[in-house]
Amino acid sequence: MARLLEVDNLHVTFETYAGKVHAVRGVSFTLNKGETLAIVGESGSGKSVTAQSIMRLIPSPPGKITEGRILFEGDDLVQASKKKMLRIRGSKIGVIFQDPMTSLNPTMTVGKQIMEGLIWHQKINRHEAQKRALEMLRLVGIPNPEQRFHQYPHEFSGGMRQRVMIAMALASDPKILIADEPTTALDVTIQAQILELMQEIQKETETAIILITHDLGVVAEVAQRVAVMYGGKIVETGEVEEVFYRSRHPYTWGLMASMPRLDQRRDQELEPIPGTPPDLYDPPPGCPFADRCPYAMFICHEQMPETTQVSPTHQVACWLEDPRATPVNKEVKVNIR
Amino acid sequence: MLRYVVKRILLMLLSLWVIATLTFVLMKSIPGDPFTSEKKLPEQTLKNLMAHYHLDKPLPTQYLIYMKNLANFDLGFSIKSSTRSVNEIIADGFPVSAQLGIQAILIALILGIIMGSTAALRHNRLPDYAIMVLAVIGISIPSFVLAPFLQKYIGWQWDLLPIAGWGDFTHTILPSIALAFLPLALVTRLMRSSVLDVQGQDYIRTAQAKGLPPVRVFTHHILRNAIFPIITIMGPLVAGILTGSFVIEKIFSIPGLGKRFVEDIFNRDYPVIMGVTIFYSAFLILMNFIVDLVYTWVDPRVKLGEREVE
Amino acid sequence: MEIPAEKFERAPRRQENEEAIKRPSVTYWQDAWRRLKKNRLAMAGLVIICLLVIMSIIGPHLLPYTYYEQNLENGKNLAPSSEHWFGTDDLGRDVFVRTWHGARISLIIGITAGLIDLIIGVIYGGIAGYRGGRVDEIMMRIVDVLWGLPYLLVVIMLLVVLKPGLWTIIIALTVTGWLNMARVVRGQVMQLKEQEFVLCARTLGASTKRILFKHLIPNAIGPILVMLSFTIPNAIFAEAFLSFLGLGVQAPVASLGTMIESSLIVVLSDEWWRLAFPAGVISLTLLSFNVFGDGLRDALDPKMRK
Repeated sequence: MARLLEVDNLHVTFETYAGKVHAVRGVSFTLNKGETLAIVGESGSGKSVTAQSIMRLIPSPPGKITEGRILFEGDDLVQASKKKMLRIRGSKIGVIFQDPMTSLNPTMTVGKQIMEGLIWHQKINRHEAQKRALEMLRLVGIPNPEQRFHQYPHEFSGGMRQRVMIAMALASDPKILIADEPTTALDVTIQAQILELMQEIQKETETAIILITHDLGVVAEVAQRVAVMYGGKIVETGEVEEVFYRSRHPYTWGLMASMPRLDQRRDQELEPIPGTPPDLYDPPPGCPFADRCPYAMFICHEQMPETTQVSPTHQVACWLEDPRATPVNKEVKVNIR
Repeated sequence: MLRYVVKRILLMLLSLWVIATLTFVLMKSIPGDPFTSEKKLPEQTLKNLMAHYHLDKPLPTQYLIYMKNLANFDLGFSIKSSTRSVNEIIADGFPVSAQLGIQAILIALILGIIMGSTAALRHNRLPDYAIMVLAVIGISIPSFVLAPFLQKYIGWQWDLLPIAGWGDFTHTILPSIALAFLPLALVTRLMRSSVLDVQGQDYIRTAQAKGLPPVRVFTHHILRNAIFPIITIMGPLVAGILTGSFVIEKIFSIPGLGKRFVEDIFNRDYPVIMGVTIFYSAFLILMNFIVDLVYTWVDPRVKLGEREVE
Repeated sequence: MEIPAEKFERAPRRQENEEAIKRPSVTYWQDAWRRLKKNRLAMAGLVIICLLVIMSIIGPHLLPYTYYEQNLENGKNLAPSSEHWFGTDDLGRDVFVRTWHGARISLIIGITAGLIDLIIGVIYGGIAGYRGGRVDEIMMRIVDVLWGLPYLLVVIMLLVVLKPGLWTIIIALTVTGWLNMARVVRGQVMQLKEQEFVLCARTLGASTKRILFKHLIPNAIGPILVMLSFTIPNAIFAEAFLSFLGLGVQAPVASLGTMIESSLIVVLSDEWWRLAFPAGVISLTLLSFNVFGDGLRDALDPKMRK
């Protein structure tokens, strides 16, 4: 498979009045053409910051990429000029944000917002841009596109606005679509529609998708590969099957156990992960999950574990993988589908 | 929509009625009649005068006559210069005041939007600090302090512009600046916070994610949204300029309605004070109403009647 | 890399770490005060306000003159000197004494008017917001109508009719001045009363008065303070403005507004001190109140709290 994007040892910090926040601490992953990679984690795990770094959209100041490379089509986006980033944003990499209610300009018609990027990137005239925008509105399943084209965002429902966002992000036919919690703010029924729409479009356009989410249900539905983030680091990554059925990291276990399932008996309680995520003002030297991990050893608090290759596609960063560690007999009860 | 407009018009009329009645009550509560301070008038002349101004009738009748005249846009006559009606006085003075006022508003709006945006775009850097210091000074220095200094230096010592009076365009420059100073500071501050607010909105991130150049993001996404709050302060702004014109026209001896009003206050020419107050109030109340309508009309998000009255 | 084997022993769970709040908690007021202290401009404003208050108290007594004492023979329009620190005016009165006397009048009017606005506004807005429903509807309709009246014009009308004097000005300024405060308080109370701690107090049988004064007002105090920090300079400005128009306190009492008005003539002459000192003091007063008010607002704004 053709490799499209490679993120290598990415570090992002935010300067605040209380000190430096190390939001992303050495994240590496790859994205292949046409696939969907899900980045999963709770809020504050650094998943959104990672996504915004790829677009170089972290607000700066206070945010800054301090280390690492983001390779895209042979260029390092960390080093790319502002001008070059303008050419890449919106044309080669598109984004959908979490809240469709606030992510559209309230004072510009929906049609104009879609056309705007097209005219700027593809140097086409208004007429062609309008044709393309209408085509996109039709593609994302908006009824009466000719009429809707001239309406303002407040005249659309949440689901419809997210469709507009998708149309906008895909209008220039980007290679990568970054979807940052695209369904979190939507009703459950609408969520399914939007996910289905994204999959359909992906089939047609072969766009690679980076899906940022905290919802494992969404991951199971659409992603091929998963990266689990915790405390600014990727703790486990692999194909969906591997991470869901043969997960190796206690945090992933916790995530799985805290997720409600259809086949669950009523009296069977959900297991929340005790504790709170680490404070990234002053990150612990060891594994970020150590404080909350039921299997934590002394070493876990002191030193970050190396990444272990479980299979060619499955990697995990946990001291339990070390031969010297006491083996854990945790039957993984996860049964998602 | 229609219901909202009707409701607003009723509220407007109510405010006008309150101010008209208030003025009437206040004026009638002054001891003596308007002619007591004059030189001794012959008995018969005084009687004629009283009859002419309906002052010999009982108060409720006077009130009814007064309200009827108001409804016909008749604001009465000056006592001190009895040949002149208040309507004439307004017709003479208001155009002059309006010219000054419009110039001042234009200065305040144009410069204020530019300065406020600049400060926000250079947030927490030197231009921001400099502009904000200027703005807080602008809010703090009363126009009647600023105006004499402008006169003394620009008008007198350096002799760049006419020091006072009314004639060609050059006469309007200094008073317009003095009048615009406070509104300029207000617009600048509001524009800055408005731009900062819009900059943090999700849709600006969307625009950036489209790869639009910063200039376009600013003109088409930030500016467009940040400018709406400015419309909402147009009402208080006009009111500020109007009251500011009292002192500015006095200092620069400009024959506008403001100067005239101040003189009539000094001379205690009650019918004129009353008439001009009602005229000014009606003007301001109407301006507020228009501003509200314009706001709801230009901002696609706001539907009439839904906006919470602040 | 050699790691000793005992490091792979299971570590005891750090219970205290788990649910501990990671940063020390600061109360709202500590946080606000810390932020206010960090704002150098606002603190400078506060210091200047204190100095102005002190000077308005002791200033008139620092020189052996009174604000009304004239010296028409050889004391007219004297430049600043060791005898008359700010010089004298066209009637031979000492500008230093008059300026601080005027500042005293300004501050008295500003603070009194501000406090009266506060009291009326808190009571009116508190009742409207707390009772809600029809009472609120009627009370706020009244506010809406009064709000439509042009503030300074109403004040001018009142002053034209009433006997001029210190209290007349204060009354005239407060007749419509409390509207702002009432609106702010009402908004705050409306917002707060739905919150759980208030519901809780009500369930426990606390009386309306008690809930209003023990729970709602203390929680609404932030915005009220900010409002107050802006009503005071507004009242000071209004007084100077009215005095300038000849509607303020009457001669021989010194007011900064009247001093500026009567010294306009110096535009064409060299007695700059007659204009510069009162103009400087009024500007400094307004400036320090505005700067302090801005700082206070920033410090108390919970949206800014990180």
